[in-house]
Formats: sequence, C-alpha cells, structure tokens
Amino acid sequence: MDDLELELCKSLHKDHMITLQLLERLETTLGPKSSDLPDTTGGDFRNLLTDLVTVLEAEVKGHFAFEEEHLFPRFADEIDPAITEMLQGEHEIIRPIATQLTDLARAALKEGFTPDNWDEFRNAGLELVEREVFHVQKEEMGFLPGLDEILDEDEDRELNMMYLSAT
Amino acid sequence: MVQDVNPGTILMSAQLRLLPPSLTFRFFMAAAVFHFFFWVAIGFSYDDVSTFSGGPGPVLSAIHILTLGVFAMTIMGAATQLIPVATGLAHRSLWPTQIAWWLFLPGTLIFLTGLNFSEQWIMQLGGLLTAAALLIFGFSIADLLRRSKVLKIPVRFAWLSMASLLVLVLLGLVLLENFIHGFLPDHQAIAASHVILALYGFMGLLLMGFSNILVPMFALSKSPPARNQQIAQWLAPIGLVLAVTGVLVNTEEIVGIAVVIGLIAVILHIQGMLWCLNSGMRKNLGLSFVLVKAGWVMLIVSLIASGLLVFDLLGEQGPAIFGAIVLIGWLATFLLGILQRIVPFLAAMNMSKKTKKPPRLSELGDETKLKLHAVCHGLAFVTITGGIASDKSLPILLGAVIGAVGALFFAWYVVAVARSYMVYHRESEATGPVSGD
Repeated sequence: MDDLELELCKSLHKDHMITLQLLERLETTLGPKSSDLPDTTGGDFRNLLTDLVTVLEAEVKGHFAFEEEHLFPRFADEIDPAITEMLQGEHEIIRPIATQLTDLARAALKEGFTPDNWDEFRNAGLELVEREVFHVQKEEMGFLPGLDEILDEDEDRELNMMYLSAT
Repeated sequence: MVQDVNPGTILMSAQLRLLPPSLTFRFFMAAAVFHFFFWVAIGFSYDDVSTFSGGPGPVLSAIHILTLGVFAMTIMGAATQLIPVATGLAHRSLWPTQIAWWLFLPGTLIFLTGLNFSEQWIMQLGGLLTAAALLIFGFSIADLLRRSKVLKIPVRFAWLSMASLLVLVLLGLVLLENFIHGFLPDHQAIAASHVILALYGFMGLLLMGFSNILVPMFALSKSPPARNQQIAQWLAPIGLVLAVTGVLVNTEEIVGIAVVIGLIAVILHIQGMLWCLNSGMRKNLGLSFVLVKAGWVMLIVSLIASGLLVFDLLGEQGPAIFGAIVLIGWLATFLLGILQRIVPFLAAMNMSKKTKKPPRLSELGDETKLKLHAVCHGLAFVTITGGIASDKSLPILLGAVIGAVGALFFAWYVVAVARSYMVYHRESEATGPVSGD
C-alpha cells in the first residue's frame, strides 16, 4: 500500500479504513466467546449494530456501485479486465451477505436477537469479515495503486466529487 | 521514504502470475511430510542429540531433514511463486523448477539415507543430486532477479541469499568429499561456514527480503521505512562475511564483531516489520503472525546464543543448544508461520471461478489443527532445549513425540487445503453461475 496521489484514491482508501475498523470490531465481538445472546438495548453492542448498518449500506450501495459503474470499466480497458471481473465477482458474493447482515442488525436494534437469528447473524458476520477483508486487501494493494496511475488530475477531481456525493 | 513499488501489488499481479498450483503445492506438501519425519528422526536419535557437535550419522541426517526437507523445500516452493508475482515477471520456462523438483526430492531422500547410515557413496550421490537441484533453483531465481526493475530492497536481499546458496552448496560438496579423502586441514571450520551461510545467508537473507513483501501485504501497511532496511541490507552481508572469515581463521573476536553487526541488522529489520504491523490497517493477523513474531524473537536469541557459543559460554552442550534455538526456535517457527499463511492464500487465489462461489479462507482447512500444531511446536522446542541444556535424553524423546504429533496436525491442515482446492475445481466444472447465497 503505497502513498496514493489522487484524491479519489484517498477517499476510497479512507472508506476502506472505516470498513476494516468496523470489521475488526465485528470479528472481536463475534469471537469464540460470543455464544450468549447479546444485549442490544444499549452499550457497545448497540453502537456496533448501528455502525454496521451505516457503514455496510454505504459500502454496498455507494462504494461498490460507484466502482462498478465508473472505475472498473476504465481499469479493465487500461490495465486488465480479468482483475475487475474478479473484483466484480467478489462484490456479487459480498453484497447479499452485507444485506442479510444489515437486515438482521436493523431487526435486532428494534427487537433484540432470538437464538436463531443470533446464530444467523454470527455466521453471516464472520463470513462477511473474511470475504470483505480479502477483497479490501486486493483493492488496497493493487486496484487503488493502479487507478492512481491511470487517472489524470481533471478526471480525479470530477470522479472524486461524484464519489463523495454518492456515498 | 518508502520503497519504489507497492509490495502488495502481488495481490493483483498474482492473478496473472500464478503458477500451476500443483507445482508449488508439491513443495509445500513435501515440506509438511518431512517436518513430521524430522521429529521422528530426532526421536530415534534422542540419546545422541545433546552431545552432537558434527559428523555423519542419525543426528546430522535429522538436521538435514529439517534444513533441506522442510526449510529449503518451503523456500523453493514459495520463491518460485512469490518472486514472479512480486516482480511482475514470468519465469522464462517452468522446466527448471520441474527439473529442480525431480532432482531435489530423490536427491534429498538419498542424501539423508547416506548421512543416516554414514554410507559415503550414497551421501555423495544424494549430495550431488541435491546440489544440482539447488543450483538450478538458484539460477532460475537469479534470472528473475536480474530482470527485475522493482522492489529493490527485497530483490537485493534475494541476490545476497542466492550468492550464499552458491557458496554453501560448494562448501557442502567439499565437506562430502572430505569425509572420504580427508584433505581439509580444518573440516570443522568449513562445516561451520557451511552452517552460517545456510542458516543466516541463504535462508535468513531470503526471509528478510520476503518479509519486506509479505508483512506489508498481510498487514495492509505501507512498505517499511527504507532507511533501516537499507542499513540492514549492508550490515547483514558484512556480518555474514566477517562470521565466515572469523570461523576460517579461527579468531573468536572477529566472529564476535560479526554477531554484533548481525544483531544490529536484524533489530533494524524487525523494527521495520513491527512498524508495518503497528501502522497496518489489518490488526488481527491471527495465529500465523504469532509464530512469525516468535520467530523474530528467536532470531535475536539465536544470534546471542551464537556469540556465547563462540566464546565457549554455552557449556558442553553449546552446539546442540544453539542448533535447537536456531533450527527449531527461529527457522522452523518462522517458516511454519509463513507457510500456514501462504498455503490457504495461494489456494484461495486459485479459486475464483465464475461458476462456483469460492470457499472462505477458514473453510479451506480446520484451523484448530494449526492451533494444536502451534502448542505442540512450542512445547517440543522448550522440552528439547531443556533436555539438551540439562543433558537429559528423556525430555528430548518426549519433545520429539510432541513435535511429531504437532507435525501431523500441520500436515493434516495442508492436505485439507489441497483437498478443498481439488473439490472446488471438480465441483465448479459441474455447476452453474455463481450466486451470492
């Protein structure tokens, strides 16, 4: 992960940081000692659920959609379509898991967890952590430095404005 | 100041530069099997371990099961795959790697048999095959390094490592010849030089280079500040040359200075790696990095132990204590930590077919086996080193049994990953397009 030059890449990187920090909190919370039903009425766990809904919605509806619409085609043309196909494929796997998790988190914020949906939340959460971390790793280490090379300053300014307003 | 190119580009170029998995996995599977037989060999020669100070026989054979069978095997598999993806260069041909494999595996087995039974012609035959394999491997890596224009620090470390490999292989062949003809005035000094170049030269320098790529990649950090790594890059080979010179001219003070220089180089290198871990976006790096960090600690301990050994401060069991620290404590711990990280990683990079959702990394193999291995490995190291230090054989036998049990768990994990990979590809050919649920 080198120093990024473009504002757009810095914005994407900043969102990756936010996502990874959230995923590390989620991973810690869902660790091996998390078999008991959590209290969702207050405290750290409620904050985690709230953040989860906010961050994952921004990630899937804003970040993923923006990359797919504006960045992947450009990257595929100038660098390699196989890479964007792989990243797009990962989006398609992550998207329904993130949606499932935000739905469960929203329901839990209203009514708490039942043993069944807590198991479902744990499984989906741990799967999301693994898949999203691997995905962010790939984007941080290859996709963003690649974008940094191919976009000029005007494109950067315009795309960054679009990205910030989309997320 | 950072390095010239993002080391983590490996993740993207890996897609383009991945070798056939069967090529790299055969090295890793073989390493996992040899790992088990190392402990078995230690178990069978437990009575001779604490007093070992050189010469053919079961203990030297056991040591070479570890150095050739596990360490060199892992390094050959990893370097063959990682250097092309890190530099963005393709091997001109995979034939050298194929030939190296087909010479190295039988060569190592024959060599180990010869060492174990002190049969000179078997030792020589195996030694020649093994040396040829290592040289072919070295030249194929050197060809990539020569063409590389990026990742200057890791590439320079790799060059230094390949130079050490060349000299250590030549010294190894000289030592084998000397077992028969006895022409060397000081066999021990050449043997010590061979050991220094193998452990701190070939393996140590290559691992320092690889760490500059792998640690930032897994921790999602920038490259470590270049200054410390550049200083380390100068100091490490100076220390290495001084150590070999000191051993050859039998001057403890020169070796002592070499150890101090080596320690400074290693501390600067580790400081850079810790900077990556502390500044990286990914904090939870799991069990593999517990082993990697333990390996770094034991690298420092091994250098201190080497200094004490030179000045006769480690007692009668000094050579064996040093051997246990450097081989089991540092190299085995570090390399097994790296191996358990890159085996599922490389498998997962090869599992992105459109027709089937790839499994999660944790689904490739049961990570409980890795935890059990780590516990057994730590216990085996402590038990064996304690047994050597107290000159008692029974703890060495017990440590070998514990180590063998751990090695079985480790091999089980590696086989499980390979099996998951094969199942995925078999099923992906028979299923429709991937779906998210």
